[in-house]
Amino acid sequence: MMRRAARMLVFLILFAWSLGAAAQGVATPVTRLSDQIFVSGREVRFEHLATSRGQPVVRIDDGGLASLLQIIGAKMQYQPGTRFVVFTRADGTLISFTVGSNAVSVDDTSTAIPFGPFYEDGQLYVPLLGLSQALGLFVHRFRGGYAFAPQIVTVQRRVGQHRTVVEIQATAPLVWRSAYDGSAKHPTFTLTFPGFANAAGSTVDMGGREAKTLVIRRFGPPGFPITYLSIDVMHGVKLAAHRTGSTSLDLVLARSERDLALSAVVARPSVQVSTVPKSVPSLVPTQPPTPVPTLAPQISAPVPTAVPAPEVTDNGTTPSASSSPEASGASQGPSPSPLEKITDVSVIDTADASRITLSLTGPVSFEWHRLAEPDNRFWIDISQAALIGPARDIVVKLATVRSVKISQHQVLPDHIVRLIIDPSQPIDVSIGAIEGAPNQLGIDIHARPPPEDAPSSGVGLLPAVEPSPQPRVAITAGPSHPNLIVIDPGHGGNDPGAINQQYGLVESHLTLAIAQRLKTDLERSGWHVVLTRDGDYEVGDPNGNDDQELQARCDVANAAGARLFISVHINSSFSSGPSGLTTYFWRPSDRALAQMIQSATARASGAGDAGIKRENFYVIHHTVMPSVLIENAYLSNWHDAALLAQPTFLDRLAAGIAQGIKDYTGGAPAP
Amino acid sequence: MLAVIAIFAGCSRHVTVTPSPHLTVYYCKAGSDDLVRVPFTVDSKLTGSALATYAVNQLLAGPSVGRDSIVLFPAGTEATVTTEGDVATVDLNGSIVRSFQGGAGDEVGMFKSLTYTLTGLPGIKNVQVLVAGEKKAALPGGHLEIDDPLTRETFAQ
Repeated sequence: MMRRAARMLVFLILFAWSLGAAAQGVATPVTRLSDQIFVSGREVRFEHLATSRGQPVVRIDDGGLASLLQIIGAKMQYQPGTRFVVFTRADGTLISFTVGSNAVSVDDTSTAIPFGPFYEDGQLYVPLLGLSQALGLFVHRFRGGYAFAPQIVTVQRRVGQHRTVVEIQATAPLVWRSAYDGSAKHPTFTLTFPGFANAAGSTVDMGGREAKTLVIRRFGPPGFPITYLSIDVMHGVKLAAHRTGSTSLDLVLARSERDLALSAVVARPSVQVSTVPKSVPSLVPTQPPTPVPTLAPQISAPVPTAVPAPEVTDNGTTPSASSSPEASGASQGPSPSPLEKITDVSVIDTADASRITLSLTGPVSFEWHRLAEPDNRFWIDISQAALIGPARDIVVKLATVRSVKISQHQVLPDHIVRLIIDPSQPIDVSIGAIEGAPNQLGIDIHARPPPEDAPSSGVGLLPAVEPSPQPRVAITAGPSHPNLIVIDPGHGGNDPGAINQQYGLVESHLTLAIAQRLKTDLERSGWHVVLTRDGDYEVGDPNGNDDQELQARCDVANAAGARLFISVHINSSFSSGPSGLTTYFWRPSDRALAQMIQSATARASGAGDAGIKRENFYVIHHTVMPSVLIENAYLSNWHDAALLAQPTFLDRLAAGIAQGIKDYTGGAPAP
Repeated sequence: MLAVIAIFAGCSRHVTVTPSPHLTVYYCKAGSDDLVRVPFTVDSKLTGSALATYAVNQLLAGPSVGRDSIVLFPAGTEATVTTEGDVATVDLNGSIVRSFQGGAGDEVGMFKSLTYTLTGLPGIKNVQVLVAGEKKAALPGGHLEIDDPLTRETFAQ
């Protein structure tokens, strides 16, 4: 109902605007316009801003138009040579313009504007006012410029049994910050929105039980309109803000935490934080594993690798994503593969080698990795495979091998069985089909160092036998890997980070959940992504000290020659007051990256923007590429914690970080 | 305090407490890494490591007045403080050895308050933090790099 009301308002605005305006005819030639344009408080610079019929128009390929759309989360589809220009608002509303027509459709409603898109000197121009209003932005003309911003169109009070709810509906997604002042006679909650309110200056009677009055005011310079909602509440009353739709917001005033939650949350007091997105989109496979028809050659080398230390889980239910670009390629296909079972594991020892044989029910693909000196660990991930029986140690007699473990490493989104070899000194490993023994995968461990030029990872197929002699994505030390981003989910393993017991939230779980979502978002945009950890474990040696743990995270990115390093954390404080997002950087040259990620994440998530800060944090100091550390809201703040308990909020955080990366890089380079 | 001074003054002319102008303890402002300056009056005979220890203990104990400052060091944190040249070395022990539960802002505020307090003492320019007797890259579970001496410039934005 509210969304329809908002659409109707847009319709009425457009209709009213069209009255009295010449609706037909060819636009007069454009003349350059130097007015300032502000969108939700941010100045947007246009290269091809012009005026036609006294209205601002913009060329369709102007970067400023792209920025405008990006700020409000809208998208444009236009194919040069066609007659239609279609925009999609953040709430999914479709807006369609037709070149040469003054009709514009907003979803299923059509109305007229003074003039539609038109060609001039072979370039297509779009009327900026009509577009902005169709997008849900209120337009304010001031001397020297225009301000476009969301407008709050309704503020309604609803009194429940134990709480009062203020329903706010706007024409576009709102971003807000909240503050609490308990010093006055009546404590005051103040919410601040960049944007307009049609009821600015009015006061809403709140009934007097939870709150007395709600006052709507507008402040701010012409280009940056700010609307304040000040609510005088009774002592002991708390406030929670819930986004109920892309353009709607509920403010809940209550005395107990239980009543502050939306009803859906009340029914689910202990929120389970999923570490896997509810709907994991199918990844586009990169290249199929390389089938080689003969026995595997030597495959290891003491080359630093970009993937994290492996983990063998005991319960076989680690819901983690793949840890490397290779992993996603090796474990994903265009269609789901049938699950093959590993029915038996056997060992044959000789004087200087051990062969582990895995008996399978059918063909599988696998990938392997080895860590550089002094770690030397080697592991094999077998995709779409189920281990029959529990995780177990495999005893080999080779003196240079401390342990071999096999486990069901992952069940969702893929079934992956991981076998990990932990040697005391460099070993040489061969993997391949065993001749004359179908569906038998042999892993030969030799007590000798690998060849110097051996790669550090690779993929293979059974029964097509051997792994490729070269990794598909060569991740080596030294040269930059411009397609690769390393994401570091903060904490993990023995170090859970901050904890919010009320919501059952653990920082190390949340950072992983956000990092996995971010990985998905970035891979969809063409990036290769490596997580420093893809489960709840230490990146470095579990028995190592804290310093080694921090350095291990840096090593992943440095060894890979990654383009960017993004460390994901959740903030906490001994005080419950601080809230919002903070992005930290250390090198002055990383300030721009921090600012872009901060702005985009605050915008996308709706969390408060606590700004960027420069601090000498270890992981952003000891990584050699542009690096930032994002503290995504506060577990110690009840409002932030309520947000962090919502998987959709984690989605928005990840989407914001991804957008910030895109803003900084301009997008993934072509492969 | 005046009563204490009077009692000491009555006992002996030599045991007087002379206000010292050079001790300011910097507490962290609640909810931010801004600092709140709290001046302390100490015996002027208190110098060097003893003065530095006194200052850090006041910091760990928290402000006695003022509602807008906060102790960020976990309860049970102990510190051994020594000074040599322009370096004050603070060996932290107790609760802080276990994983630090505060966030990045608290961590920065905590070390910032420690650094500002000690570098406010005569001749002290650097603060070397040790954790359980050893240099550490960061606190367990922490972020801020502390293996090199901290200075006020460390916290310059």
